[in-house]
Amino acid sequence: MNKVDADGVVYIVDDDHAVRDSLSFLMKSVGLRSSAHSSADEFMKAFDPEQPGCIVLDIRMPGISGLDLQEALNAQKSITPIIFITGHGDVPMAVEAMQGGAVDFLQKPFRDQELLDRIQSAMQADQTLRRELEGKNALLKRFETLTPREKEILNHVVAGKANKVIAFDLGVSQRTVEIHRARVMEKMAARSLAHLVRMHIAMDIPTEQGPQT
Amino acid sequence: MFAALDVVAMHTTMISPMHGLYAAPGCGFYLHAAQPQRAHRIIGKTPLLKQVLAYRALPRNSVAKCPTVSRDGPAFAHQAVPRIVKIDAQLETLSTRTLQRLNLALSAGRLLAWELSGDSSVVKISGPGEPGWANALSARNIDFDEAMRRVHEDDRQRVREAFNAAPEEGSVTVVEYRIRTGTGALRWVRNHIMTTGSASNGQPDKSGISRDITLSVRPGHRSSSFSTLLEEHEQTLQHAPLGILTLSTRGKIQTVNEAGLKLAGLDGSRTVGREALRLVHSDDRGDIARAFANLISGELSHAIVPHRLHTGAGNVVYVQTHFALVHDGRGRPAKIIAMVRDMTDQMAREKEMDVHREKLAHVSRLGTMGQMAAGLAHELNQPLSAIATYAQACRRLLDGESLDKEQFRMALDQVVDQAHRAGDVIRRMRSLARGTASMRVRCHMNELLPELLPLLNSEARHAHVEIQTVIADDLPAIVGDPVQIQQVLLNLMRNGVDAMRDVADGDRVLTVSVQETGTGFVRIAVGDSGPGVDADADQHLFEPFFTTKENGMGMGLSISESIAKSHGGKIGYEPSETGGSVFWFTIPTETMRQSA
Repeated sequence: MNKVDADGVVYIVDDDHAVRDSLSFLMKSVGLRSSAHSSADEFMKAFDPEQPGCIVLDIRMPGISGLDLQEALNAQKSITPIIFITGHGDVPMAVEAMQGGAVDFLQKPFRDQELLDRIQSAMQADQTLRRELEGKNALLKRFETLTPREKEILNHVVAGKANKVIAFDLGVSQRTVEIHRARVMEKMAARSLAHLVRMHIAMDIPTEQGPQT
Repeated sequence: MFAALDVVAMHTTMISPMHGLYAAPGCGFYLHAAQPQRAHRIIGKTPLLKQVLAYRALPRNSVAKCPTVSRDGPAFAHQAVPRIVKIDAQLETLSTRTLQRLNLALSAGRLLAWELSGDSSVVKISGPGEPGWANALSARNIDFDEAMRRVHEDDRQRVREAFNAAPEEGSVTVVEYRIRTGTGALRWVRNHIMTTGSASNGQPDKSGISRDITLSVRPGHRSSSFSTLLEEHEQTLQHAPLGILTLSTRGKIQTVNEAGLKLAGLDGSRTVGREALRLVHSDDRGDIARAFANLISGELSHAIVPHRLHTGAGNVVYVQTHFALVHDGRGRPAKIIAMVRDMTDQMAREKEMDVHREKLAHVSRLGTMGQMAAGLAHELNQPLSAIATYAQACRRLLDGESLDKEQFRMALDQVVDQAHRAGDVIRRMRSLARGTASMRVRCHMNELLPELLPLLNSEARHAHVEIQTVIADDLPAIVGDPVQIQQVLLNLMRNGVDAMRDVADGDRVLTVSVQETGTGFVRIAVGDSGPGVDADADQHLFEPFFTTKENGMGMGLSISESIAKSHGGKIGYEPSETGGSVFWFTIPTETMRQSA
């Protein structure tokens, strides 16, 4: 199988100890780190949202069910992907789980490869998403160093306007626009205009300060 | 007897003041020979005795000088007075003899003479040789009402009517009724009531004779002789539907009635003198010998023993025999009376009922299993899933570079455990689905309850219900059909889970507690945290076809009740302290059943 990020942790939540232990054993056999819990409560105490990985969650449990836990995690803005496992005949629950953002749904008993593949792709997706978020966060941090005027100039620049047009729109000299633009490029560490535009899209900030046209 | 008494009464139509004997012609007598000083009470305020004594001193024909007697005294005195003046020495001797004869007659007839004053409502009872049964009455003068209280409550109305009937002087009413003696026993009494005065002062005076007729005459039957009575008893005995035998204390048959002979399939000549135990099925002789021993030692006053009889035709009859010990005059065991009831029909009926009940219980179990199918499949899926995962992980370990043997063995152990777990679920399902005849075996609740839990696990999980069990230590063994007991428990537990559908998650707790009652039963109680049972519904919970569920048949609790009852236990409902319901049932312990 493909190698998964060694930092990832597979959280296992199932009240049936045999199922739980066998899953832990399987994770161990392929060198994955796992953290097994017998109830939603127990899991919530140990869960670290910053920790990359995925959750293998039994849909039916006494007390707080798998679906309730999913809802609680969504409310916490957790991005850790969930793979639901369940006995047969729980299709309506599966639909609900997928609508709630679950990445996958497996019926017990499952083929190990099937589960491991899904864990792997979930963890990869998690990794990518976390990296993306990390990048976005860095960009936003840089963006926050800009002055209000510089932010205004940035919006005009990424809208594809020439310096002359920007100077006219803002009622300043072309030279002033050039100085601000150079500082924006520097602060945002943009290698080119195209790079700046991509960063702007990645930041995904609302453009109410943008040009009216 | 009464004819003789009438003759006596005719001879006493005169008054002898010497002996305190007063009489009015044709209307009875008053006897006060022993207590002349009491005489004044009969006629109220007038001190009759003094007046009577005064008569002796008076010359003949001077009755006019005693006007008070005729004016204040009762009518008989008035009538008697003219004759008093005619008393001479000869007559006095005659009346003494008459008095003696009267005493003799009363004593020989065991009669009680009494009188009732209309004014004072006092019953005065006297008699020369009072019969024993009247002891309680004659100990003192008693109130009329008090005397009435001794009369059997069903007869009181009749007695009162008899006392009120025939108010004309000299008329006689006869009434038969029961009285309660000082020892509490009932005796039949025939009372001749005669009106001896006019009703001038309210109620007329009454006097009469009472006679104990318990032994000689039964109510409604005029004069039945002792021999007729014996004959009737004998006929009753012979035609009784019970086999009735008298046995010696050693168990030899002394007498037997027709029904008894018929039951045993024998004729009289071959039965009397035989050892009763030899007619009994050999396996049951021990029970009867024990009952005999207990009777003769005085430990029991009677014993009821179900057993089998060998008939002369070689068949076996199921009977139930009631043994009672009879003592002789000195209180020593004299004989044993055995009443044998043929139970064949009843046994057949009960057996048929058992078969029906078992069939119904089985159908109901199958229905339950059907409803539980999805949950049971899930319950099998868990161990199968674990087995598959362990096995696949083991394969990965084998394919790897180094093999941790210890880890590998641990995984294989788990595979074995989980395979057994799955097998257990199937075994329990099959035993519940089984349809064999009801049986009674020794079993333990601390085995039956845990066996049931895996079957319910999945349903409880699905409903987010937590099951808590509290099983008391040192629980005694019970006797019953394990599958049926589990059926009742399963039923109550599933009802409990069902009752909590609308309760908030996390508050759904089903508690099963098992404890000894201390009265020879084990009590299994299932409590839920649901909304409880409606007040108007709890009267009908155990009726067939009563249900509060949308898809319920209403058979579960009704069948559970019949199972609990057929085990000799009970089933019940009570609201729980926390607002939910508690359904419980009891099953007798092993020791309870042995002693029963």
